Amino acid sequence: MNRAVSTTWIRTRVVSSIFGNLERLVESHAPRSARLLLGARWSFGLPLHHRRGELHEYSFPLNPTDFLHALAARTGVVIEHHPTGESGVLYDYLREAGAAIVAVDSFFLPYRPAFSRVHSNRTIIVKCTSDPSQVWVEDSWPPSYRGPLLVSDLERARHSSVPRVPHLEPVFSGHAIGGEWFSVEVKPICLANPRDWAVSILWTLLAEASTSTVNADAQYGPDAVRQLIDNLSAGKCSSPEERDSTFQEAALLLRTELSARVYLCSLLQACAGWIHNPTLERAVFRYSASLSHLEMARDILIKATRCEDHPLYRACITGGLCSFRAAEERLIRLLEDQLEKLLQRPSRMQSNNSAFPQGDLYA
Amino acid sequence: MICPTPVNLSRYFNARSSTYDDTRHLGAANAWGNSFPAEELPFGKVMTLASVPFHMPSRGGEADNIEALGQIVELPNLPPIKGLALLCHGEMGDQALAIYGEGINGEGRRFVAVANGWLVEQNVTVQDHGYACSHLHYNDGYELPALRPVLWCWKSEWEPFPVKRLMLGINPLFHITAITCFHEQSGFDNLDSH
Repeated sequence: MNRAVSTTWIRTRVVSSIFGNLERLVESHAPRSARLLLGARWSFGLPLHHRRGELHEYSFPLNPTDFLHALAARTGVVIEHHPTGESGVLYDYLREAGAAIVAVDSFFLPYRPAFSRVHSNRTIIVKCTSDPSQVWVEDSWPPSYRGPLLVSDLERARHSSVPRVPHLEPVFSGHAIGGEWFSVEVKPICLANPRDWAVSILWTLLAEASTSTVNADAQYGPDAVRQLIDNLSAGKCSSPEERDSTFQEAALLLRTELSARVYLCSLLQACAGWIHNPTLERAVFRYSASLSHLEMARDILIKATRCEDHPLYRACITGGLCSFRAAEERLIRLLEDQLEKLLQRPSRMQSNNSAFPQGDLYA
Repeated sequence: MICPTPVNLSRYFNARSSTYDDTRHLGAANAWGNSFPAEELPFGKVMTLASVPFHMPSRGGEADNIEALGQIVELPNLPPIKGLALLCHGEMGDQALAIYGEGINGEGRRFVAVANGWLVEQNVTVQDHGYACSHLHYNDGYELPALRPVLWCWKSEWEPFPVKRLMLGINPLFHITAITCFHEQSGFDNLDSH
């Protein structure tokens, strides 16, 4: 008997705090297209061994073309990462631009339930107020909070070693912060012909998704998914500590990969509409539903960082990843097929596999 | 008339989701060591949600629910079953679980149960299909009301058929505290009311 749950069941997906906050800020510039503007990346980036410890709650997905660069070039969302810095720069920016995304240790945020109890990495939206001693913050982490915060409290929260205490915060801690923040700007895209734009971005994404490659930071593409499945298979870890660390890193990796795909689906859906391709639309819908497998793998990894290593947990994790991989491969094949068919039709556009034609489409 | 009969699940319990005030450190309802406050749950009694009576486990603070790992739950001899209700909760948000009801004549019925996520924010109104506690236990020895744990009622009805056993699917994030079957004769008459 098949006792697996159908992929037609979809729940509201939780994205990482950086993606959630980016969506809110991009929304203020582009209310109807924020989600698709954040979706112009489709790969799977498995960090090489020497970079695995760097993953954290608000990591961007690794990409053969740097994620931030790719997003800026493809959809005009320009995210600037300020890894450290003098506090004055952030507050000057807030006065000028209004809002920024700021990395914090929630241990120092008085409005959090676990204030002074649990160290935890995440990002929040910070806005300036007329009172220089206060900022306005929007923290969507449950229980969510919108309200004022003393600048002195924010400053404490921005500089912390965020120590990892596994029994209190097994997943989202351990990444030291020293004033890190992000600015976001949305540059207008000139869409003279949405169909041509859609075909072009679909080719770019298809090439990215279907190509397995390696650089100094990570392994990418279908081979990277296979490698992760292999890494998580039974018997690969020599000690419980190594297992916990492997599971934590994998959970963080899947969190960012799933987040990126939530937005990717919005972009693919829009493109399918622009090229009037109901076959692709249906396939994207099915793919979106199948992300439940990736989601379950992520959540059981999180559960397994704390619980005894039940053999069924590993089976669920690797089974979920295999199902996700199969769904991804199906969509890649279908997209390839549909784009090839488009090439055979008369079109004003010279479709090819080259890089995104920025000059044609950006103001 | 549809009558409810509880299923005794005690021998299938393999997970602990509740702690008492002096055992909060044992919390294991999620990866962060949170738990239901056992003092607020009517263990050993009947909890009624959405007009469905559920027989709660006899004690809190120890194994008090099924983490769905493919168990086969044998049902008592009952008249043909018209439906089923679960008292359940989803760890890490809403969760789905495939369940197969195997009949005595080889017939069967497959359905997918959905457990809502177990934590709601303080100001969220929980309708009559949820039992919300007033606070959440943290494994560092304290409790806070900002997030409230909830047990949810999920139910499904169908054309009556005699069910021998329930074969649960595998989803370690789906938790079942109680099961009540519906049929034409009540087996619930002798239970205490909550």
